[in-house]
Amino acid sequence: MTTLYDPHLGRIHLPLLGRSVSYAGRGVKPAYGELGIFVAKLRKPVYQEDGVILKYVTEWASITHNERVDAGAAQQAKQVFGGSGSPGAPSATVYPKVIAVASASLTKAKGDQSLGSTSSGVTTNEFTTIGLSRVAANTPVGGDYTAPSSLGGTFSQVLAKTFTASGSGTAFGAGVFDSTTAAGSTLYVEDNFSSSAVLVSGDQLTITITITN
Amino acid sequence: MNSDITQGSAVTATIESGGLVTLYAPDNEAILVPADRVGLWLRRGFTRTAFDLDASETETLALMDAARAALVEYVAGVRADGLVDPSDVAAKAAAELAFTAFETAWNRLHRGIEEAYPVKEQPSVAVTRIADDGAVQRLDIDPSQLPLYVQAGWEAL
Repeated sequence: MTTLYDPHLGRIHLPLLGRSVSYAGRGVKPAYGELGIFVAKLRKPVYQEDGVILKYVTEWASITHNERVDAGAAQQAKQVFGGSGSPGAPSATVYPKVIAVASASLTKAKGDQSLGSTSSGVTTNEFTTIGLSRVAANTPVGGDYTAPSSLGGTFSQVLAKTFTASGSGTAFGAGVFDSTTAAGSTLYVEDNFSSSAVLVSGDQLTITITITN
Repeated sequence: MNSDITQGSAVTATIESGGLVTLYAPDNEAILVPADRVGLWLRRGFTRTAFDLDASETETLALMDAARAALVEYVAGVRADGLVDPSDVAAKAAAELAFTAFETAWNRLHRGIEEAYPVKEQPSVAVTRIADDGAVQRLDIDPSQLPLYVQAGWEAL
C-alpha cells in the first residue's frame, strides 16, 4: 500500500498497484519493485493588515514518482544486509533522510550521485541558500511507516520537510541524500516536479516523499 | 483559529505533553479531544484545520493541476515506447494518488461549503383546490413541488 502523508489533507491511502511479469512457459505473476512518490506544494502566506501571517494557501502542487539511482539502491542493500564495500557497512546515523531542493531541471540518470549529476558531492543543481538548502527531514514519527498488509507485501516510509524561502528562486525538483554535507554524501532518489515552483521570500515549499518497497 | 501544523508534528507534540488536540467539525465548530482519541474523531469527519473557502479552493485547484500533469506523464511514458515498463507503473501510481488527493480536497471543499454556508431559501408557493366536500383547501409548498401538485389537481395562487 502506498500512503500519501499530506500535512493539509491528512493520510491518503492508495491500494497496492502491481504490475505483472511473465516468462515463456510460465504463468503471469505480479511483480513489485521500488516505487515512490514525490508530493510538493507551494504555499503562500496571506497577511493580516498588521503584517501578521493569517494563513497559508496552496497555490501549486506536483505529484510525481521518484527515481531511485544506483547509489541509492547500493546503500539500501548495505543498510539492510550489511557487508563491505561502498557505501560500507550499515550505519546508525548515515542513511537516506536528508531532502535537497533542485535549483535546475534535472537530467536524471541511474548513475547520478548528486542532483542531476554523475559527479559525487556537487551542488551544481541544488539550492544552497534562501532557506532551501538540504536539511534533514522531519523526525520520523509513528505512522510515517506503513507495514505490509500481507506476507511478502510492500511497506512505505514517508520523508517530509517544509522549507521556508528567505529569498526568490525557482524550485525544479528534489532529492534525498544521507547527509546535510554535500561532500561524500550519497544520493538515494531524485525527481523533477511536474512543473517548476516559483518562490518568493516567506513562501513555504512542502515536500513529502513516500518510498514504497 | 487556523492551524498549519502538520499531522505528524501535532501528534508528536500532544502525545509528549499529554494535552488535548483541537479538531474542527465540518461546520467549523472547534472541539478539544484527547490526543489518543484523535484518530477516532478524524474518521468521523473532523479535521485538524478549520474550513477556509479561499484556501480550500486554491488547494483543490493546485491538486487538479497536479493530477492532470501526472496523467499526462503516465500516458506519455506508455506512448513513448509502446510498453508498460516499471517507470510507467510508478507513473500510474503517482497519477492514482494525485487523483485521490484531488478528490479528497474536492470533497472537503464542497462538503465544507454545504456545512458552513446557509442554503438560500425560496419563498413557498401557495396552492389551492376544491375538496370533494366542497371545502377550499390551501397549502404552502416548496416551489420545486409545484408541478406534482398541479398534476394532482391543485392550482397555484
